[in-house]
Amino acid sequence: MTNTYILNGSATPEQIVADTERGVFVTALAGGQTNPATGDFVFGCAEAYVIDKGEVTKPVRGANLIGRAIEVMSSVDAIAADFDIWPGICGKDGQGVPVGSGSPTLRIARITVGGTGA
Amino acid sequence: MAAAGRTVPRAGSPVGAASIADVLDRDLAADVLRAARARGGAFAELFVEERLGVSVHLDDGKVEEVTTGLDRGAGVRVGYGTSFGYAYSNRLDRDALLQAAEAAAASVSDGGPGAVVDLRALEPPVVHSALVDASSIPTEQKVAWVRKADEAARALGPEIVQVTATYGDSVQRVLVAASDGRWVDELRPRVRLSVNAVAARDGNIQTGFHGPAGLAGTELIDANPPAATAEVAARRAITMLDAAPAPAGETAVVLAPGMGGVLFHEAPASTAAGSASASRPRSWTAWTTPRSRTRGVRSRSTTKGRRRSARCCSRTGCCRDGCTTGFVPRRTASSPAATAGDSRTRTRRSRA
Repeated sequence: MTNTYILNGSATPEQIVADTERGVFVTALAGGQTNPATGDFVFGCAEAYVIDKGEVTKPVRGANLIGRAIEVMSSVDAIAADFDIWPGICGKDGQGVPVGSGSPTLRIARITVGGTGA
Repeated sequence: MAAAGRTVPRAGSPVGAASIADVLDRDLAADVLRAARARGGAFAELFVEERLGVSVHLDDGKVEEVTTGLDRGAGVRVGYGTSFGYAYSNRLDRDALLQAAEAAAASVSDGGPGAVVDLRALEPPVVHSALVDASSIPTEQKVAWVRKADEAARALGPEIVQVTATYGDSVQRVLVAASDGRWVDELRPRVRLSVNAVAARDGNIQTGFHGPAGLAGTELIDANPPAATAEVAARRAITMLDAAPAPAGETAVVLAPGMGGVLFHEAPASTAAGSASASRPRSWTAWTTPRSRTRGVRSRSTTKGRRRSARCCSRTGCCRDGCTTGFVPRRTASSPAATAGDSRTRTRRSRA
């Protein structure tokens, strides 16, 4: 799979966080798995923080994002205008190519977060 | 993509030539394409590459590996219906390429010989260039960069107990010649320096990673100094030491810049790539809810200096205002303008 980008919206990152009563702010994703037949995926978060009453607060560890691709992408309800690209490798059948995946800050209104905390 | 073997180039082939086209002339490429289409098929393509690379790997304060390598080879594929015949060679001489073409064509039975249009160069939408050619930088300097990264990560605190730093650069020269007349000759310089830091305290172990990369020369290192890259990785690891276990359940998630792209790449886009074809997949067309504000783009080009931007391909819109506007295309008999592979496509592969 080659480069994939989500283009800029019109919000600001600060607005998006301020408008989030409670949630998780993910600043770095770790590895993940996707079932291409169903779109089901699980992604680990390398760095994440709790959003409480519109503010980024304490860091959390062990967070996983779990969902079905189409449903999750349909749940995106806010997109900022700070597009950036994350470099990585995409491969299949033992071959890999360098790719860039890009997007601005965005919010998924509801997604299952796997964790061990309350 | 061609599976190029690591090999010593044949005598007389200029290694590191300004262009891979200097190694292969157009008449030979046309002959190979004609051989590939000898048994018909919708189209044939020849992919030739040469990749020179250097990597330096530091682990636990020691430089574990300094490697250099040359990959060179060619692949030929013939498309017919939704299938491909494919063969490759790590030799670029006439006999080897024609043998690969014949092997790729062997599984095709689609009528008489197919035509090959006169090959002509395409104007690139974007040209990647290295301001500072990485091959002009001494290996000692590259070793110094990973050492600097190690020092900077450890300097952030006694919690940092392990650091791995990897520097890599390469120059890939690529030529694509196709039976529809496309002749694309591209140079792709790449540089990356990445750091993985491990932090530990009271039995709690956490990791942090950071690794800027780009289609560029070592100006990328100037813009992203090794110490700064290391500090991001180390700070991330130390921050996670103080993190509480994540709460479980359904909630809103805000993704920082770039992260949404990773999710889009791995989830919907991969799903689409795995299933999109002449028959549109239900799961992809279902992505038409007006709630979504996502505009997705699959782009092989148009972003200078960014990874996987390639001269021979184009930008494709997939979704706008919550509605599907396009599909991840691939080249089939029914979509001659599209490009790229597909995991559902049946490929018969052989080595010439």
